[in-house]
Amino acid sequence: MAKNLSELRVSRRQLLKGAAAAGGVTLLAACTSAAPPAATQAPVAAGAKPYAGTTVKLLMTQIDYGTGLSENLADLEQKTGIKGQVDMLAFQNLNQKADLELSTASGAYDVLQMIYIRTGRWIGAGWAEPLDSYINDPNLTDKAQFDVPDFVSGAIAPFTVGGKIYAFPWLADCTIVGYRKDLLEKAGYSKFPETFDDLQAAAAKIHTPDVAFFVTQNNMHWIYPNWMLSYGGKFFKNPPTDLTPMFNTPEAIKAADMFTTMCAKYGAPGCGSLEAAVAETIMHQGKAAVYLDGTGNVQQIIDTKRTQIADKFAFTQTPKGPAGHFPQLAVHGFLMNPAGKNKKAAWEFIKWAVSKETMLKMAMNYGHIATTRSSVLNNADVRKKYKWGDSDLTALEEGVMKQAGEGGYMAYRTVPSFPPVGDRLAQAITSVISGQAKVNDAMKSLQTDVIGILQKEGVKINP
Amino acid sequence: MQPGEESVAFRLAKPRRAGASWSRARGRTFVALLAPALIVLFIVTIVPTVFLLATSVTPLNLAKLASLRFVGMENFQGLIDDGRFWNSLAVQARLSFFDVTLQLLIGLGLALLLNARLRFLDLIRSAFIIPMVLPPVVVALNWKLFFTPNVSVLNWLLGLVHLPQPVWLMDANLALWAIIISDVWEWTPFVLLMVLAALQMMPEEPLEAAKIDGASGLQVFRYITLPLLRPVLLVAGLFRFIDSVKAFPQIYIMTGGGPGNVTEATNFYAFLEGFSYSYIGYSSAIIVVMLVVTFVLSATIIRTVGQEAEVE
Repeated sequence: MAKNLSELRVSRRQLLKGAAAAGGVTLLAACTSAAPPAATQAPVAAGAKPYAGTTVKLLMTQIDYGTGLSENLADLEQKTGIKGQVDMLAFQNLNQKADLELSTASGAYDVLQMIYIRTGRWIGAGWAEPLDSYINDPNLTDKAQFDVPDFVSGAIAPFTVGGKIYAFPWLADCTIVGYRKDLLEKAGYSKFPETFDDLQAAAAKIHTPDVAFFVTQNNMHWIYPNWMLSYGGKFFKNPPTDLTPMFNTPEAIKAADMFTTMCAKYGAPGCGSLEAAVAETIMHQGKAAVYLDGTGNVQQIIDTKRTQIADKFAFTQTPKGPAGHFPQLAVHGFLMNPAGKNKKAAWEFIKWAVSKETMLKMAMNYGHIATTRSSVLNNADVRKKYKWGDSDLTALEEGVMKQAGEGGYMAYRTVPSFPPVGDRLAQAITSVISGQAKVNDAMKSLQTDVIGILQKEGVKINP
Repeated sequence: MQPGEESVAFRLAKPRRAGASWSRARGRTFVALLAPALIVLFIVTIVPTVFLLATSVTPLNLAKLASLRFVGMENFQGLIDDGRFWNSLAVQARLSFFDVTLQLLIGLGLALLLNARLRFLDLIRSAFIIPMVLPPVVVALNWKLFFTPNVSVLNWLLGLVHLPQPVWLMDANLALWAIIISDVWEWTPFVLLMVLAALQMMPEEPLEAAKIDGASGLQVFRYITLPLLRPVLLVAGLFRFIDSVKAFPQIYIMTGGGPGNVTEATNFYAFLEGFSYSYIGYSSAIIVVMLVVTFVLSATIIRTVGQEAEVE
C-alpha cells in the first residue's frame, strides 16, 4: 500500500513540466485518423462477465454526456457485467464535492470527472491513479481497440504528467460564439464582428431593453480570459514556472473594462450570474443576440425541442483583440479514484465511457460535439450533423483545439493554485459588473489578494 | 464505650449506611443511564471542537498533508490582515441584524393578529407552518427561481403592474436582501408560533384590570403584553440569531457569495477556504473566531435583555 502511494507522488518539477505540456502540445492528431470507430471494449471474452455484480460509481457534472452514459449503462452491463451508476452535479457543486471525496479518500466513487483546473492539484496530491499499468496489461486492455493515439493529443496532454497518464479526456470545451444572424444582418452586419472592439460597437447598435446584445454563463474565470488574453493581459507572468500575478497591468485592466461593460451595459439582465442553462434559455426565448461560451453549451441553442428560432442562429469563432486571438480550451476527463475498491472494474468503466463507440454515440445522439477522439471528429456523419447553415461546429471545435494546443496559452489554467485564484478573479469581475467597484480598483485589489493566495500556497513570486 | 451504647450506635448507623448505599446505587444508575447520551454528546460536540481548535493552529491543507505542523497563532494573525474575512464579518452582521429584527417584528405582528379563538384562524396558523417545515435547500431553490430574471414569476408580476423588474441576485444593493427575504419567509413562522403560544397562555387578569382602568389598546400592548412577551421574544430572537449565523444554503444556492462579495458571510467564506481551496487550518481559525463572536454576543443578549425582563 505504501509502495503504491509513493508511486502516486509526482515531483514538483514533473508536475510543472506536465502543466507546460498541457498548453504546448500540438493537436495535429485531430486532423489525422478518420477510421470508422470499432467496438473498443477490453479483452473481456464475449459472454464472460468477470465483473458481474460489481457496481462502479461515477461522479461528474450535469451534462448531456453524463445523461448519455446513464441511459446506456445497460450496454456496459451486457458487455462486462458491471452495474454502473452515474451521479451528476452542477459544475460548481462538483468542484467542491469531488475535491472533498478525493481529499478524504472516502472511496465512495470509483471514477470521477478530472476537472481541468484541478488537474495539477489532484495529480500533485496523488488523488488520481496512474493508468499506465492498466493500459499496458494485455489482460486488461486491448490497446489496438482502445487506441490511445486516437485521443487528440492536446486533450490528453493535461492528464499526462511525468510520462504517466492519470485520466482519459471525454470533453474538450472550446469557447465559440452562437449568435442571431437575423439581428446582426438587420443592423448591417453581413458577418460577425471580428474584434472585441467591433463587437462592442455592434452591441451599442443592436442592444435594446427587450433583446439584449450579449449573454454568457456565470463562470467568469472561463469567459473573461477570452478578452483578457486578446488584449495582451495574463494571469501569471510565465506559467507554470513564474506565477507572478499580472492582474494590475494596463492590458488586463483594459480587457476587464471591455468585458464588464459588455456584460453590464449590453448584457441580458443578470449577466455575470446566470447559469449556463439560463443563458441558453435566454437565447431560446430570443432575448439575446450573442452567446459566448464553450461548445458544449453554445451548441444547445439550436436544440429544436427547446426553441422555435433555431434556424436564425449561426456559430463562429470568438473575436480577436489587439494581441491576437485566444479562444479558451478546457479539457475534462475521467480518473480512477486511488481509494476506490474495484479498480479493475473502474478501468473497464473508464474504457467503456471514453471508447470510440461510446463517444460516437454521444456525438450523434446526445449533442456531444466537444469530443476528444480524432476518429469521432473526423467521422463523416458527425461532420454532417454539426453543419448548421453556413456554420461548421466541428471545424470550429477542431480549430480552437489546434490553436489552444499549439499556442500554449492555456498553461495558466492547470497550475495547482488556479482554483482559488480563479474564484477571486470571478469575484473581482462580478463586483465591477454589479457596480460595487471601479475596474481599476477591483483589478488592483485582485492583484494584492492573489499575491496573498499564492503565498499561502507556498508559491514563490516576485511581485 | 458501653456495650449498650455500641448497640445504639450500630442501630443508628445501619440505616445511614443503607441510605448512603441506596444513594450510591441511585447515582450509579443515573450515570449508567446517562452514559450513552453523554458519550454520544462527547463524540459529536467535544471531539470536533477539540479537532477544530487543534487544526486552527496548523496550516493543514488537504492537498499538502506533509505541511501539517504547529504554527501557533499564525492563522489568526493572517485573519487580521485578511480584508475578505473582515468583509465577511460585516456581511454576517448585516444579515443577522436585519434577518432577526424582521422575523421578530413580523412574527410578533402576525401573532397579535392571529391571537383569536376562531376556527378559520386555525387553518391560517397551519398554513404559516409550511415554510418552516420545508428543507432550506428547497426554499433556496424556490427563491432563486423567483429572483432569476427571465424565469422569475416575481418580476413578471412586477412587470404587470409596471414596476421596475430588478436583477435581484446580481444587484449589489439587492442580493443580500434577496437572501434576507427568503430567510424571513422561512423562519418568521417559528417566531409566530412561539409568540402565539405565549399570548394564548397569558393571564387575562392584568389585561382586564388595565382595560377597566381605561388603558388604550396601545398602552395595554406597551405596558402589559410586551413585557410579558419579553422572555419568549428573547428566546426566539436568540434562536434566530444563532440560526442566522448558520444561514448557508441560501447563500450557497442563490448567490454563491456574490455578486463580488456582498453576500459572502463568514461561514460561507470559511466553507470556501476549507472545501474549495483545501485550507482546512485557515478555515478552522475562521470558525473559531466565529464561534467566540457568536458565544459572546449570545451571552451579552441573554444578560442584557434577560436582566431588563427581570427588572420589569
